[in-house]
Amino acid sequence: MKEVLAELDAWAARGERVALATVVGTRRSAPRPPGAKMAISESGEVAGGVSGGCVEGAVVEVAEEVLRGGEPQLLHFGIADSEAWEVGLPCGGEIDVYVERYEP
Amino acid sequence: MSLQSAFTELARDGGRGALVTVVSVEDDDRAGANADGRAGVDAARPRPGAKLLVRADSDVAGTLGGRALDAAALAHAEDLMWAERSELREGPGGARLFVDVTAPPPRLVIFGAVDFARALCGLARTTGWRPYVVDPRSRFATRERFPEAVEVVAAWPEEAFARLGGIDRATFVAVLTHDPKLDDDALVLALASDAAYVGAMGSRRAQEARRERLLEAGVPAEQLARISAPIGLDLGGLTGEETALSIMAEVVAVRNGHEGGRLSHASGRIHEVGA
Repeated sequence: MKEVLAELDAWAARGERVALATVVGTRRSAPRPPGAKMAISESGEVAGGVSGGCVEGAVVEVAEEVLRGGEPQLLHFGIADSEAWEVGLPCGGEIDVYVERYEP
Repeated sequence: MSLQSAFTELARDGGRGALVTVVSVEDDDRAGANADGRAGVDAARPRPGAKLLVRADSDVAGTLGGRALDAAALAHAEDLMWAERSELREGPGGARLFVDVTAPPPRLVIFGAVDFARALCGLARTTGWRPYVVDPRSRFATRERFPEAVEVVAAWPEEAFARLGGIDRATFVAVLTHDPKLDDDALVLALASDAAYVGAMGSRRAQEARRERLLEAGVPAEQLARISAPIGLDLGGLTGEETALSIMAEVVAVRNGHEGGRLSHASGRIHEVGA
């Protein structure tokens, strides 16, 4: 939470729509613990992170969908995924990421 | 103001609380039957995205959509906000609840304005903890001697505890004066509190004498077993800074539920916090 506080405040003050991605579950050696957050503004700014940088791109795409009015989504990333070669965690961990609108 | 925004504000203010969110609802037959087959509030199907905010003073805002769900969420929130860990938990009706926790930095209350307490304050700050120094001897308990302490309290333990707002489950206490009449007083109070940890200096011989004094003072034997003494991990440190490091290393390990050995000798997980 604390890693994105300043940006959440600043973007909300500008009246921008913001999406929030939160690590809600981890298995094996995931890089960030549950509660780690990434904030995405509608103008494309990003703060914080949910992994070591390996799945952030995919999360931003979902965040953009959510910002366009989509439902909140629960995402799963891990080496067991069929997408492992595209979006996976090099450390061999698995993470669940919840992406939703941040309401001011 | 949304619950998310209230939670952000709580985090910014260094408060303690948990925001519980329904992140998914299992689509199994049982959950379906509950939703379709029963009337009343508790039969309401959990809705992904619903939120409940619980603050440490038990102020509750929002709802997950049913009384049973809210009761489960409240119990998980109260458990995890003190364990200082965010976690997924199961709720009734096949709901998966994410309990997002915010907590102030842990407190380390140091009894004894002794020389190496300064090094301990510095290390505590570096590690993101909030160190407090307490000692009734006002000539030692000064702001100048402990510039890195959040607060220096020149008072006897009872008054000092009160001025620090009591000793809660997230407070760690290190008793370092080496003077029985100061140490004992602090230990009796710390042991009777919810403190997460109570450490004390002392050779084995000094510990035995202390044990007898505290038993005589009416401290139950099972409370005495809570004292970590001699305080610290076994680093073989000789300087004040190294002793401080050994104490800081122990409180970090205790907070994370680890023993504090060498990683090269360990078989468990490196990062995982708690259980």
